[in-house]
Amino acid sequence: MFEISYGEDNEIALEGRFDASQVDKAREAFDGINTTRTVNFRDLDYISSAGLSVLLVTQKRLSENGNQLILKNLNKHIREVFRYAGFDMIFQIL
Amino acid sequence: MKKKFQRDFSSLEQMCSFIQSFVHRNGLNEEIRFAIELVVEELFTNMLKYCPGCMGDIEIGLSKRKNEIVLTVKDFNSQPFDPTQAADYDATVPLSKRPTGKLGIHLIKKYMDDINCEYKNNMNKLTLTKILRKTHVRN
Repeated sequence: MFEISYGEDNEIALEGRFDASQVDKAREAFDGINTTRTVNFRDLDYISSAGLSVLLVTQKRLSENGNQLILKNLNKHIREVFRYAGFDMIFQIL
Repeated sequence: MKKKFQRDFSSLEQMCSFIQSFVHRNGLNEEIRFAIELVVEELFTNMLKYCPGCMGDIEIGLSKRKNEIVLTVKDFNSQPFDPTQAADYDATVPLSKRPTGKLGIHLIKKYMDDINCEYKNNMNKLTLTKILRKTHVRN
């Protein structure tokens, strides 16, 4: 199960498992982002390289206009994946 | 324990249940579950991507020895696939130059302690080992 919803202040909330089977659904949502947005990982249990790539492509596109994704509430396992991938250096993590 | 999975992204959900069952039976915790799920997904999706014409199932095996977990992945009737030969991914490259691919193999190498690949009779057999630490055992 993987869900994307929108909360207060246009915050994007991810829930469940962001794996390779969810890439099309995620791309559709992230391709529509054009300004700096916060992504709340509080209810996200898992992410693989497929999910990380969707975030990376979005971050690259947004950075061209000085915008970015800001990530918050990553669980410790997801923080570790970010660290291994070096994504802690290219995303602002709250 | 081992199980064959259909060569389709929709198999990922069944793989999670299989891994969950292994982790539970062996008294392991969420940290190791996350690592195994990620490595299995990365291997499985690479096998799907790089052999689009392949039709056979992929077998995943998991066993626990005294202080290590052994993961075997068998891809029958496939092309050679050896993640140890993949170019290194530089996780220090800045955003503008960061490649959007090759991350999966990099993560496999980060999470596992040993990777062995064999290709024989059209079958890829990957054997990966993860050394267990005290932090991997359920309290």
